[in-house]
Amino acid sequence: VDARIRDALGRQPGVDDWTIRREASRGVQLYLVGDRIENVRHVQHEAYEVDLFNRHQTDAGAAVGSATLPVASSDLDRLGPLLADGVTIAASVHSPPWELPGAGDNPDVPLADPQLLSPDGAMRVAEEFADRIRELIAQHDGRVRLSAAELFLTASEEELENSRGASGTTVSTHVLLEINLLSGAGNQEAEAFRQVAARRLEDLNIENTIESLARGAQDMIHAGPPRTHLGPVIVGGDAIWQLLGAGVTGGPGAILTQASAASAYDNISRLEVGRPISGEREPAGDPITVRANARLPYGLTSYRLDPDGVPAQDLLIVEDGILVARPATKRYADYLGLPTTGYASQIQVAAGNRTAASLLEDDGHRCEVLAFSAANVDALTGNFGMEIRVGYDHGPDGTRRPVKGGSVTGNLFEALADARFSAETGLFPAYQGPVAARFGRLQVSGGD
Amino acid sequence: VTAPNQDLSDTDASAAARLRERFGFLREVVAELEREVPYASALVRQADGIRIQLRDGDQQAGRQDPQAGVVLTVSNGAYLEEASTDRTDPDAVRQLARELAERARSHRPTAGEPALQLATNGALEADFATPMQRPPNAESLGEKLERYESLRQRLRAVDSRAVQAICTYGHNELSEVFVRRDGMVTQQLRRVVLALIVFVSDGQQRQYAYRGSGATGGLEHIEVDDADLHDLAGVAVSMLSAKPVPPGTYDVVADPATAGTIAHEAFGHGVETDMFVKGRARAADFIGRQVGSDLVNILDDPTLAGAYGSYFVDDEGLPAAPTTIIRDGVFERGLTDLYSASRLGVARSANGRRQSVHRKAYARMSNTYFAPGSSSRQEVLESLEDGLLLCDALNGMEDPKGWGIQIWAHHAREYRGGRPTGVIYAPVAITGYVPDVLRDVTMVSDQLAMSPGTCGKGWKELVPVSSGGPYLRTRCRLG
Repeated sequence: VDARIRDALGRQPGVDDWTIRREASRGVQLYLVGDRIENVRHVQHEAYEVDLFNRHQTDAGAAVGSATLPVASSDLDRLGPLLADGVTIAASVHSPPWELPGAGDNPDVPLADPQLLSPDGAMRVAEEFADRIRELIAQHDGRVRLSAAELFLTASEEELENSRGASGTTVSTHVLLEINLLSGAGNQEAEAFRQVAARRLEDLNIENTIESLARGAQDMIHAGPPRTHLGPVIVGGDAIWQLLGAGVTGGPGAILTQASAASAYDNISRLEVGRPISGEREPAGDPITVRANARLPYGLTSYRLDPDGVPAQDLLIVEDGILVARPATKRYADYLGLPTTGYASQIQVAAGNRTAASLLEDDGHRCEVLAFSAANVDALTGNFGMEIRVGYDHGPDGTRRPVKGGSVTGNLFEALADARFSAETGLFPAYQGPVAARFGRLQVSGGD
Repeated sequence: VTAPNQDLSDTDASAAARLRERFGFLREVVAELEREVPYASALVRQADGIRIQLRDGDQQAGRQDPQAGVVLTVSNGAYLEEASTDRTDPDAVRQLARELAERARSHRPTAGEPALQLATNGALEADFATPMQRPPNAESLGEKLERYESLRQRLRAVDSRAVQAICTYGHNELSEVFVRRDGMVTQQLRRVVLALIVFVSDGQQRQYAYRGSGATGGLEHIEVDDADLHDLAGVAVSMLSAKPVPPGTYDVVADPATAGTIAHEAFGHGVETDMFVKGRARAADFIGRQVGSDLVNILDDPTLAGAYGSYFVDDEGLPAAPTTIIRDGVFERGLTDLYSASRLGVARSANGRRQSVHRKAYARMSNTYFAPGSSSRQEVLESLEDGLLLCDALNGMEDPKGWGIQIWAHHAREYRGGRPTGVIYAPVAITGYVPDVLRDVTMVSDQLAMSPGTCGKGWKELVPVSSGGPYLRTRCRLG
């Protein structure tokens, strides 16, 4: 951390506590259009963020105000006025008092892919990865072709220290792949798109990604809307994390949001500790068990210490369908008198005891979804309505028809009452858990 | 193309002069780069602002998304190479330029690699700034806190079933300098946003309603009165009795927010020409062809006064101008960035936009909307014999290849005989096939309302936009 910031905070009247975060990153970005390179980018980023706290009295009693001040490199020469503005902000807002965390024992959480830590290494890896994509597509003998791909490889170093002794450094890498394959031609042409992020290149599992995209692109040429029905929906592929994991805006998703102490404090949580998260519906599936495991190795949202300086924890949140604990940042833990667990991160769902293939077995009609157009679960209500991007209608006679369009709607919490989960698990962006789940009754809207 | 000089206030003119003085060295940087490569440009972006969030028992405030950085762009003759940094001092930028030039020099064209001829738009020397009637800085932070906490408390008190009310305010000033061999342009863009959300509970369930306003300009664009607060709380309370919409295809009227989202997802993303280059846009085969009813006119207009997605010059140095995408049901042209327009050999539109200096420019929308028609709002609603009014679209996702639509509306109101029945449906997922939805447009009302938003390319590359339109009657599949 730049000593100028620490010193300036120490000199600034009205600063009672502070947290400084620094992030420095270097990355390469490679863009392909068809077989051509469109753009090669080198990115350097370094920035600070300062939370400063002002403790004061109001008519209602003791209060704390805080101001979050992102500090760009160009701000380092004008810290005095910047911090003075920050104190003005912090003295003007009034929240109930809470204390910053002190020194803690930050766990070692592996978050970096070593081959991506140097810019030259990352560029070489990016070029090799692009070649590998081309090779894998070539193995499909012209049945599919590369429309476009984007590969971002970023290495970051983050430091944190606060006025109460918390400190830590995290080295991590981040990989983002966006890829689109085309199959067919003219009116009989379809695409399969995937955007996926991970800590390590190997977690992109490019061989499986290309294989599933190639299959999806070819199948979707002849896809029609799903049959409208209220019945079983089996969710796999990317659809599983779109439903159970991150929210549409990159937030923690409906389960972690509703379980959080912040939602309880805001009086907007529909969940209560000791009660089933699926509400009044009679449980009829595998009772769900959920952890917020910030220590998960190579988890995309795992961390060593959270943005307040709280060491990462592995927290059991839902056990056999019952909410047993609320993830609580230091602020909301102090407000509600709960144990501090740090920011809710990296949702982990326990495996079921059936194979993913067996979840599809049924005598009746059922819909299998491998990708929705977008993750779109309302974190405040649990309601969702998502268009099917890649799916299959399975008929009682054993037929399997590709489907696309239409929608699956329901409420996630209510749907969990009769959900069954696969024994096989996988690591997805911001979700680790079963690779497939079967929901007993969801509304599918498509063809009449 | 030379952009017309805007009449700037003395303050804005001084700020523009400071930007020119501070970043004048970029003319030399670009000239030096062009001794090595056929094309070079530089973009500086600086942004700063304030964000406030107020709720029961908690207040938060801070700077809003400050940015400072430079991106240098060159063509090596075959493709683009770029380098970006947060440092804006001349030494750091010159060093970045040297490294970029070395990489570009090392490129050896391979056999059959097509040359990249970038179509630049001609000389440009101009300074621009968003005009404001009530600049955000004319009001102190304390005055803002008092004003918006009062607003929040009034919303909270409208109905006894309210359990939480949240008010979020933000303003942001973004300064950009774009430099190319044939000129330098500066722009100062000011944006304001105000969002209100109220949660209600009947003891069994919680529901919410949301109202967002945002604009380029000053505080005059985000005024909210008590009637707005009552409407908002009324929507939230009505949601407590909402039931799931029976799946099926319905006659619908899309409100302006929903109509705008249809325009954005259907013929906004679907006509971004980087998608044409990638073979991802079905619209590429429909230029000059009928794609909707004669009542359908869709525009993208970055010059729309006050709209949240407005700007003066795009991030690749082209002065903003409106683009008619669909005229009388016929698809006329797409929205371009520099690379895709050059590869396709089509005329540019000013839609090359970046999330930040650390991301590349893509073809992006600005303010996208259905143009108003000739029916009144009342006539459109009264035409609904048995259908639904779709309200307050929250988000959507594009499908340029399949021409599918996914839009999520906050709720829908049932209409029978042209009158609301009081029945509310939620959640509402709107899906459909773009040509069907546009073909079935049979009435268009005569007003235009825009909604602010943030638009991603897929799930990333976020830029400020707005979308909107009139009340639009069509048919959609709901679920």
